[in-house]
Amino acid sequence: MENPFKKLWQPHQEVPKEIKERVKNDIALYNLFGELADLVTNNYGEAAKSLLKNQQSKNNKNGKTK
Amino acid sequence: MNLSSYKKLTDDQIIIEIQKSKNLLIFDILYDRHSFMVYNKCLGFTKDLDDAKDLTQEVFIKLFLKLKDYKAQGKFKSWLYVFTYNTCINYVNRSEKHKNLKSNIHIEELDSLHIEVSDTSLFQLKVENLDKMLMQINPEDKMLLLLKYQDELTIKELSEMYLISESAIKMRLKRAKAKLVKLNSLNS
Repeated sequence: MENPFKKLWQPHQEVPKEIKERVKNDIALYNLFGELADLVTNNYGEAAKSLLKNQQSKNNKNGKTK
Repeated sequence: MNLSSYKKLTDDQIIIEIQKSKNLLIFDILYDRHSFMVYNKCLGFTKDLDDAKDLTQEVFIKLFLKLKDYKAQGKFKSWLYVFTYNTCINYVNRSEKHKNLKSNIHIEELDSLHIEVSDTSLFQLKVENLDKMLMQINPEDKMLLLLKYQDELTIKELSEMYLISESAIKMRLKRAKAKLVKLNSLNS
């Protein structure tokens, strides 16, 4: 006996070409935002680190201790 | 590794490469392999070309975002079936437009849901009737029946996907099958 579930929704249809482009664009945009966010957060971290480092070396030069 | 070498990889191997590189070109391979199945499932679920397009897009974008946490436990294809149906169900549930795709018949209130329905009697249903009845039961039951009888997932695979015991899966299947047969007898 044939399984009617196998015959459901037939004939199958070809996937419209534009979907792939839409998917690729959305993912590219997501990646871009991700990279931008990384850039911003990484730079804040680096900036804070270098500020502390500079401050410390200034203090050392002036003979101050923490 | 060039693109043609990637094409020889299995789905799981491709996913590992995407996890490493987030490379969109490799993701294309996964899209090309599975978009036909995803699109046709979405179309079958919504019966609307525009909705099927939107849903297919949603499935693949969500898939890309999910891949970073994906751990191969069974066949990727089976996992993607479940993922696609879940996306369809969420879409249908949140859309006012799809009120007609939601179950409006409280079959649970009907008796006889405890009856055991054999696969043979299920397979006697006509395709066009089956399609109509699948739209009358709740989407979760529809998904389970499709996974079992259209996509041929085993009880073990279903149990792993749903994170419930095999006996719980069997019970859900039994009730879903009984609903279909009950509906069929009500319709005829």
